[in-house]
Amino acid sequence: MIRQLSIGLALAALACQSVPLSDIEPGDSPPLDSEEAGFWMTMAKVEQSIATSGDRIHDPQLDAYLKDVICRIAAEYCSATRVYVMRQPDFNASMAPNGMMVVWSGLLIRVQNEAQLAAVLGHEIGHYQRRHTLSIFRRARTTTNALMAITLLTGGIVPAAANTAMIIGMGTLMHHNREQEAEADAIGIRRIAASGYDPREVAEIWDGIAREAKADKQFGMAGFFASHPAPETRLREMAEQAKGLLTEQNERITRTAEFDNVVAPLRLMLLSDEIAMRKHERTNLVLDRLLEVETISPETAAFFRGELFRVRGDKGDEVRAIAQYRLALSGAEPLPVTHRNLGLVLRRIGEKPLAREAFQRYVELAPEANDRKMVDAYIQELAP
Amino acid sequence: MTKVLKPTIPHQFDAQGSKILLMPLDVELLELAAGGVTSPRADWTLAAQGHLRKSIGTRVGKQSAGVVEADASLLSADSPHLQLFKLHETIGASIYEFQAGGANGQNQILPTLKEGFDWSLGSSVESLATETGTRYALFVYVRDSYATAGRKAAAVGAVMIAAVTGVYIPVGTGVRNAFASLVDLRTGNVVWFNRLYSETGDLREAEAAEKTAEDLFEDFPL
Repeated sequence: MIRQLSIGLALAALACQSVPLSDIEPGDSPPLDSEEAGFWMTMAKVEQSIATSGDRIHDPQLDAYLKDVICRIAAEYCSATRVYVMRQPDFNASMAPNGMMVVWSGLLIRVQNEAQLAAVLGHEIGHYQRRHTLSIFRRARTTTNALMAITLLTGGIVPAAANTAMIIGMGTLMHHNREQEAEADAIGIRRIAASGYDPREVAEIWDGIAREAKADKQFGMAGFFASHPAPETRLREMAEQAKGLLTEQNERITRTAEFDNVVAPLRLMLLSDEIAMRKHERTNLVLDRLLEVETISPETAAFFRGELFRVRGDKGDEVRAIAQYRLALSGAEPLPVTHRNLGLVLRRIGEKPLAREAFQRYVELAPEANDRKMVDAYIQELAP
Repeated sequence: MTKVLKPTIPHQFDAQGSKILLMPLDVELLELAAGGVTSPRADWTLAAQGHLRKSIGTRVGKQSAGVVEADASLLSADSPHLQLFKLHETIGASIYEFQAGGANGQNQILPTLKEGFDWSLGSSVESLATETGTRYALFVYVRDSYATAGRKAAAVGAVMIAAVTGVYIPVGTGVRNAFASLVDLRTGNVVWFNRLYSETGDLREAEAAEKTAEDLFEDFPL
């Protein structure tokens, strides 16, 4: 086993010695007989399925805004990039070699302003600019080619080594490696600073992600930290790089209001998707960070904290949920659904008259709601 | 090696005056490196698509009113027919994988699919017939890989090593997996399906592409 692993590791190390590629030229498309053209061909198909996917958020205003930010930080790649937002409640974005950028919706509640958003988009542009995917693919191919030679020469005696090396080697095919991530980070922060954003905002993202990762041990399960440097490392590194990039012009430029204008109409959906993940602690942190920059009100935060308690349903959570919902209802324009969900929790603990009252209030405020019949049934069931 | 599947309830082919809509070809040619990693090749793919389109045009539709090539706009993001194409992608892949033997023809057939062939896209396909003036739609899928010189050398090396050590490690030098599927645009039913598996021939050349078309459309009803 140790021997197999060491062969695998040796091969993986061998694979990492690749020739660095030049930057992609703006407006350039690869020659038809190149492996890069093959990638573009395949990615065009993937892009078609992403563009028409049921998970895509079709919001022309949001799409145009993201494109604007990309063009602001990477004017030379503006016309070569297309951006799609997918309804995925986690922190991620990716960039394909053909200029297709995919942003997960979870990102939009995890960046606090346009400067932070621009840093993530700039990071993805960095992968594209440096042609990281192609370089990764070449490495993987070198790994497996070397592996084939070893398998043949050892007469197939250690076939399991093949598997180990395959796993290690192929892992790099799917993800960028840490060195590339660091390079993309550096490109991202340089780009946003040069475009007039406060470079200190980048460390803010990683501060949030580091706290979330601590709160949610499974945070990295999506493979994120397998390839990315630890968020604490990135936080330090980005804070350090920001010092050299801070100028009088970009100091304190975050464009928070511009970001909020576009994302605010989506926030209810984004936070509801986050609640559905049933990750109590991490979601609390997301709410804390939105409160920090005042993009949500304390009453809105209270509604979602009530939701967190309601869906968790641990001992005592009903009482906690009720307290949060009541706080939410003290706000200026509470969501009608607050009454319904308050009713659900009250019903659960046997507070029949109060539950009935809450449901009645809900149907008064939202007579056309599509769950009207269900709620009417509850009202009947709870009649004295 | 081919395997033709036909519906359990035989379809009465409506040959006279019937046009066949050739859907955009789902063809990809890949390069197989020494270690077994495949990478798509745009130039080979374009060449193969051209050859296949030509061969299909001369071979298919002889007993009916010929072939109409679907416009690429049929698959644009806002086309109402795109979902139909995607649906067939899934149905075609399911037939191929679970009823026709899969990539090398060796797949176990799902117990529920041992008898009966009654796949359908549903009657919403009618809109496609109305818009294009066709009676049937033909879907073609091809994945074909070719070894690099390095991979071929490895294959030769494997034989030589086997001669000395007695241990042979098979090193494939590329395979072709393909299927063609004919859909009745009145009912949406798949009325003819053929799977092809081959380790020889070269779709990058016109002559070999012609041979592949011959195998793929062997026993084609229209």
